[in-house]
Amino acid sequence: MLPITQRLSQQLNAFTRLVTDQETRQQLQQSLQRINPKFNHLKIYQHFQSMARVDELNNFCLSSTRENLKHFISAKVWVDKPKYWHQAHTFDGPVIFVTPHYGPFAIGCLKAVLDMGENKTVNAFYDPPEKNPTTAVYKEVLSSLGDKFNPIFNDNRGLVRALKCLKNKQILTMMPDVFDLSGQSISIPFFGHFTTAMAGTAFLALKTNALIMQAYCVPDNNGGVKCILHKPFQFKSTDDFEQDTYDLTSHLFKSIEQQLAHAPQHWIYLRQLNNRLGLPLPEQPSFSMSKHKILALANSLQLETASIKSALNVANSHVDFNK
Amino acid sequence: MKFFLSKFLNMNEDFLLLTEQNKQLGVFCASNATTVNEKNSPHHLAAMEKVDNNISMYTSKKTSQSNYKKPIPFEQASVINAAYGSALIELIAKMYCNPSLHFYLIMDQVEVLPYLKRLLSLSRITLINHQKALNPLPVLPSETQIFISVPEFHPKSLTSEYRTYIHGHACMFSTYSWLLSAKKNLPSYFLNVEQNLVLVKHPSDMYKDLSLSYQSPNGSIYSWSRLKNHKVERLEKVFISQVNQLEALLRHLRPRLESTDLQPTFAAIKHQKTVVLQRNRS
Repeated sequence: MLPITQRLSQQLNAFTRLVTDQETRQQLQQSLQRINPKFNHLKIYQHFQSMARVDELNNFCLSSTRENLKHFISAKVWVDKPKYWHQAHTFDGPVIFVTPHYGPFAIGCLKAVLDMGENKTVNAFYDPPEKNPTTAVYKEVLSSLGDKFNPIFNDNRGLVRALKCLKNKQILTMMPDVFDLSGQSISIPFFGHFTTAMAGTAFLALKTNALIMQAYCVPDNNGGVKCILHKPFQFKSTDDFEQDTYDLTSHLFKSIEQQLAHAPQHWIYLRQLNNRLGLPLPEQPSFSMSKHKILALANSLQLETASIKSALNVANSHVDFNK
Repeated sequence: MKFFLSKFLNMNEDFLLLTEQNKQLGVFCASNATTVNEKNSPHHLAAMEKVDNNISMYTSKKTSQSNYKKPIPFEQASVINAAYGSALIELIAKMYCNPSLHFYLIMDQVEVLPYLKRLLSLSRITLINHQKALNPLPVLPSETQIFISVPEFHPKSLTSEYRTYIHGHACMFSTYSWLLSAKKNLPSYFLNVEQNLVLVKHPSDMYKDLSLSYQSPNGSIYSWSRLKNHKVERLEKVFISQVNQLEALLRHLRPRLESTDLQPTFAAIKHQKTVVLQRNRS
């Protein structure tokens, strides 16, 4: 349990940011509206509070002795579905833990290292600090429990190393909510629109037939951390690798969407959501406004537009795209 | 009193917008560059407002008073290409004393840029969108139409025709002004770095010279927020995002399209994506 003075200080800081940080408040407001128009300033306040708690937990990992950290994780970090945790632990094959940058996710990773590290090496795949400076702290935090953890940087050799680890039946943690608009990015549905996602998680899962478990770490009311687990699954692949990549990545983001709809305040990239949403899905009323842009793009790519027009007509049968 | 208050509010707003453009210049150059300043733009705008007031007071005489000893004698309908900055405002101010000239600034919608609001509030400066500018416009017998084409206000994409370097960054610009001048059969000029109007012989030469204007330490460009969107690096990202979304849309709809084989379309999208990106990187 947090000392009362510390808790009050956190609440005061969150309130001060809510009042004074107008730019962030506006971005958060716009993003929250995309999730649920009913979300109000309370969620923004909760977001600031959650981010402060994440910083505090990261600092705790960095400053604690290994014994204290082990004790904290054993006593205070818990999973909501122990049977899923057990299933991942005992699975005779590669396992991929998928989490967005959500709540104290590093603590969840440490729990995996503590509970499963004896049998399997836990690898975390993320951008090198020179590409994304915010990741500089991860290695230190995740190495707090010793050498059972292995970082893999998302660079040219990273994907090959990750593939090798999975082929050796190890555990890999992936965070697909960070993207780089490169040849490896794809678009998938998210909150009624298309958004960019990296195809790496699906690529690795499809290549290794790994067991996938999606997890979300949130601070609990007793100063600890709750790890929310979604049911582990293996994706049934077809002979169309690219469609499978799209379908699996969409599936992963569906789970992220569900969690964000329930508790958006813990997502570190919450303020970016509004800008991340692109073309509306065909099921959205605003989709028909985009038809000209879609056809103009198809023309500029010199694509055969007949199949695209017929697809668009199916998408929204009340809109005639041949007009 | 109301007049002075409105002037003060405008000045304050433009000061904030200049600060923003300085920030955008820093983003463009990835440095702390600060060369965006007001130069004499407020003075030039005031001179044009004075011309407007004089004309409205003596409408029948159609006289105008100019602060400029050597106004630019320009009687011919034409297209003028220039960066949006102090030099363009000065040029318009010098030409504005000729009451027969009507300026059409080509832009699809009003942007929040320094001095733009004041410029567009003048009686003989009209905002016109790209499509309308290409079509014939009603013209009074005594009126000469001057189309102001600002390269950074025109649509652009990775497949735009002209590439030039600004502060070491490759940027793409469209052929729009070339099309406009050909369609309207008007001569096309550009405002060079020495602030002279030069007849455009070939657009690629014009863009080379305009890139000097964008980089001139003496000039002040007010549209860095627009220029950053012309960077090839940024256009590549927009292109990838658009193509990804098109592919995703078709994959999303695929289960509902039993009779249409989308595989050739996916192959074509992938091929075109590779071709466009490779062409730009070579």
